[in-house]
Amino acid sequence: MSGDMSIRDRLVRLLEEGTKDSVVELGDDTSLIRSGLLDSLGLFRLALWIEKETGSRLDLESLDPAKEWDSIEGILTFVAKHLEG
Amino acid sequence: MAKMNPGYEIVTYQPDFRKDVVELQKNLWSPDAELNAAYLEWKHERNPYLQPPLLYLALHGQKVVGMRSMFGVRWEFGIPAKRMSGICPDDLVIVPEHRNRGLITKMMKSAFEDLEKRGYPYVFSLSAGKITRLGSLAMGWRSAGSMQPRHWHSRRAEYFQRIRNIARETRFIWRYADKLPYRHWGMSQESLHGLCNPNGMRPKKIGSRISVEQGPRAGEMANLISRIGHDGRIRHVRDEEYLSWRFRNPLHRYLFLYWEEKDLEGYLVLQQYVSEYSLSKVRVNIVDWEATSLRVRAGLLRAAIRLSPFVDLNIWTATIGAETKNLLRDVGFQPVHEGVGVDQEQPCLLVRSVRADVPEVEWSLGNRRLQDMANWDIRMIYSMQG
Repeated sequence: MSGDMSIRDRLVRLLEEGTKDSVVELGDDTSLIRSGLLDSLGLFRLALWIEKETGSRLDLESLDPAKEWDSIEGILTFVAKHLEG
Repeated sequence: MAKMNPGYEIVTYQPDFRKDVVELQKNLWSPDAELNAAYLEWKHERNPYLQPPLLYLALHGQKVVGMRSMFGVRWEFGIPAKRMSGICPDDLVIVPEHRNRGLITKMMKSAFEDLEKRGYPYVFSLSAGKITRLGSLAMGWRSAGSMQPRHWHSRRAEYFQRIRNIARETRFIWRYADKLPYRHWGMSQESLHGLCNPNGMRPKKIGSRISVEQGPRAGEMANLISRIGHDGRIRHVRDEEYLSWRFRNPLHRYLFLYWEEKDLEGYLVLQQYVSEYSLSKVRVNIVDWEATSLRVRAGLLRAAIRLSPFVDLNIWTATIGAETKNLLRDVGFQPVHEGVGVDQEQPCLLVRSVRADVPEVEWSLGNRRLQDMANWDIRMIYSMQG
């Protein structure tokens, strides 16, 4: 059940589903965006997931996904920051 | 590093690929290959600002599996106006079985390298959907802001729709519900051109001043734009060449309202979608609107509403003046729900430097910062949505 999983596990599962055609082993510092691993649709699903996890809407005017979401570590930091805020 | 799926090659369009592109576009433009061919010809092969056509194609083997097209524009800015040819990346399509393999990134990287060699400093996007918008932000594009769409909702259409729904659920009457004369009430997605004189020989008149016609008076419209003048904000050059080309889009249908006195004093252009993939045909956009006075502007707007009381009218208002915004409000235009969040389908202006090493603070045309919507004079015809 997703409720029993850690936020990291849920994120990895989402990314694995979105990149199942790729042969890349996902690590915390694997480049997701700059490498092109996450396509537009994958990125869109990730953004929806972030909004669901944080319970807040993303402000696209100030968003820099390549900088903030390029790795699992980066995404978790982003989510943590928004959960605090 | 992520592995880029091997076997892909990015090439620029050559006429040999025409048939493949038309087929590929069945995923995006329309299911009708003939209509797609006409659109390709109009948008790219006849574009006045970019020849030969510039489309980046992803090949897998010899098969075209993806495409990002660029169309040419010509901006003017400053007083006196300087003019500059520009590029708008537009249609983006990948066949379903080749998605999520980094192809978009690969196509855009190739495109940016090529555009830099061709000397283009910036790229502009005025029609990104919610998925493309996010992908673009990830590739270094920045948003100048929302186009601030406003919407005039047809209460009459809603009323007749309600009557039909009630009739469908009423004993004895239900079988006649769909036979009621909805066609005359505009419920059948009737062509905008049906609002004009059907034999096309004589323009329909509204009052003594306004003519309704199916075609652009490109020369007169360009003269009017020139007479009204330019405040220096960044806008598309709307000369006779542009206007003659622009309204030939085969995926759209246009209707022109002209206000005439001694000369042309104003015009308003309505647009409707044709493709089966498009948004509802009940939705009609005001894609361009010019007038020498507020009186003429108001007259044209009221005539458009009177002419098409069964459609929903839309307009982008991000860069129009306060007087015009008040006018829209007074006749019943409401802001389309402006939420934040990725799931909002909100048209916006995206810009990017072609070179990745130019700092964002330096993105400008004639000292006008590109990411500031106040520096733009945007109309829906600049976008392929209009």
